Amino acid sequence: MDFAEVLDARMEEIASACSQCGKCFEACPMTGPAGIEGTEPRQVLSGITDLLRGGEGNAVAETWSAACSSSGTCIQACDYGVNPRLMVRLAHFAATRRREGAETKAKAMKSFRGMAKTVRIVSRLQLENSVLQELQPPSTRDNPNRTPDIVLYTGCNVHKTPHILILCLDVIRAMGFTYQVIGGPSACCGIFQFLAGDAETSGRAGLSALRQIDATGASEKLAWCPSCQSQFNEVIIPNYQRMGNDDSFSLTFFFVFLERNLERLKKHFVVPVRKRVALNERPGFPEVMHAVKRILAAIPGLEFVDLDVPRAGLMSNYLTVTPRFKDELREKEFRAAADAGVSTLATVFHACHRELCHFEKDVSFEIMNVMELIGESMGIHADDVYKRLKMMDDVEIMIEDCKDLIAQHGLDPNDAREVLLADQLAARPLQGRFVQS
Amino acid sequence: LNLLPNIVFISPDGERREVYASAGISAMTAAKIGGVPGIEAECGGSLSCGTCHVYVGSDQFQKLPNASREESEMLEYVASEVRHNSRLSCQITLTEALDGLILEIPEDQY
Repeated sequence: MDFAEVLDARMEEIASACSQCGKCFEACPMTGPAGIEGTEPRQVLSGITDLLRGGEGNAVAETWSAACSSSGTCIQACDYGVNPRLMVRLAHFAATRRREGAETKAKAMKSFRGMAKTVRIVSRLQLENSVLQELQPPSTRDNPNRTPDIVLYTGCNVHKTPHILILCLDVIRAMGFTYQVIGGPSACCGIFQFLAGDAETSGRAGLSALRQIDATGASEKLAWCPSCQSQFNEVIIPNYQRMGNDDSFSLTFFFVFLERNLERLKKHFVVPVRKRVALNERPGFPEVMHAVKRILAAIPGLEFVDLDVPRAGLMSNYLTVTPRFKDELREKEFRAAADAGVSTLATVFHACHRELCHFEKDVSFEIMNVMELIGESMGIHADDVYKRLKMMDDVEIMIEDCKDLIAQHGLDPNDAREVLLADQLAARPLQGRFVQS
Repeated sequence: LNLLPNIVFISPDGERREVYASAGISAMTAAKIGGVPGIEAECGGSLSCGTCHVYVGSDQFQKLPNASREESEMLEYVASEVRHNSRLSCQITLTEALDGLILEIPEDQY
């Protein structure tokens, strides 16, 4: 079976395994914002399973699948061994494929090309070529003739906030590991094509990335991005195995790896970080939040403050589908952080950082990424150019600020302006459409 | 044995750029190594973007193996005009027989 056939087979199996009890629907934080709270759960799940089998489903099932923010709160709710997050993601895939029909592939390519162009330009507006090269594969560090200890699979969009990536690599290097980077659009996990309903191209991209990661021979295969991790864990790797390949491939979250090597990492925490820090938590991968909290607790001088606020979304951009809900959550979190007197709100993931960093000028605390705190304790710094640009709030000022890099990289200023406007000053739902005004 | 096929990339404004490359790599890889502008190749050759589109010199087009179903499908969605000699350069594997291959770069890849 090819990738698309395997995916269809898995959708049928999941549809058969689902009892339609509706507990996953009841556990979902998106039903209220999407305006479908209180719907008879069995009706929704009946529609979801119908979508999985290639049917029309029903309107509420389509809305629910379109509003899914991959929060993962549904996963624990299922008593029947189904992963409802995957089930709903697949239902959205099936609904999109059905709706777009012959346009599916064209839209998938457009989506991927748009992302690739944006990543390329936004990263070039921040970094000189020599630094960019450091973040691109293939590049075995320290000793090019040996298999690296670590392959860091970055995904695509973290390259828009390259200071995070620079810090990740500095930390790996300081810990004494050799590494290779695989990432950027040339190693896409396939999620853009998947969201567009194109299984075949999504599979080609994801399997190509998997093979690039595997080919490094690294014993530690680390992933930075939760979108990639989710796409790999739930779609790419299971399909790869079902297509007759080995079942040993897996990815470990970067922060989980750091936590597992905390004793080795802690030796480098030599600078006290006298900050009162709250975390911009996301519920999609609880093990990552657990790991980050343990790492922060090991930083000398740092005081961690747990905020009791509602959380949703794999990353902040997954909530763009319900913009008012997203704003409400952010405001609650900012208010709680201010009330708690924190000095710092730390983002964990890159998309959250992109969407929150510029609010720093409106709140009483700084907004930085966890990697900056880890780096600070290790005496390592990387400028957050993305935040500096975004806080300008004016595309012409941004372009003026970047004019030397625009010239150095041979970028078209009009392309740069267009990309900055779309990426920094506007927001489009990852899932394809708004389900809340 | 000539292990260094010579490929000529011609930009939309007519500028010629010669690239020497090892047999066995793709024309797209040769372009990236040679820093040829206009071959974007965003997906790195995984047949998912169509941004390494080229027009193959008309007398050389017949020398190439036929495009696969996947490549033909991707060619339907490239940004610039599709012509009878359109190919994705990531799918052109260089051989000694292709020495002197001329590849014209289209106006737009996005």
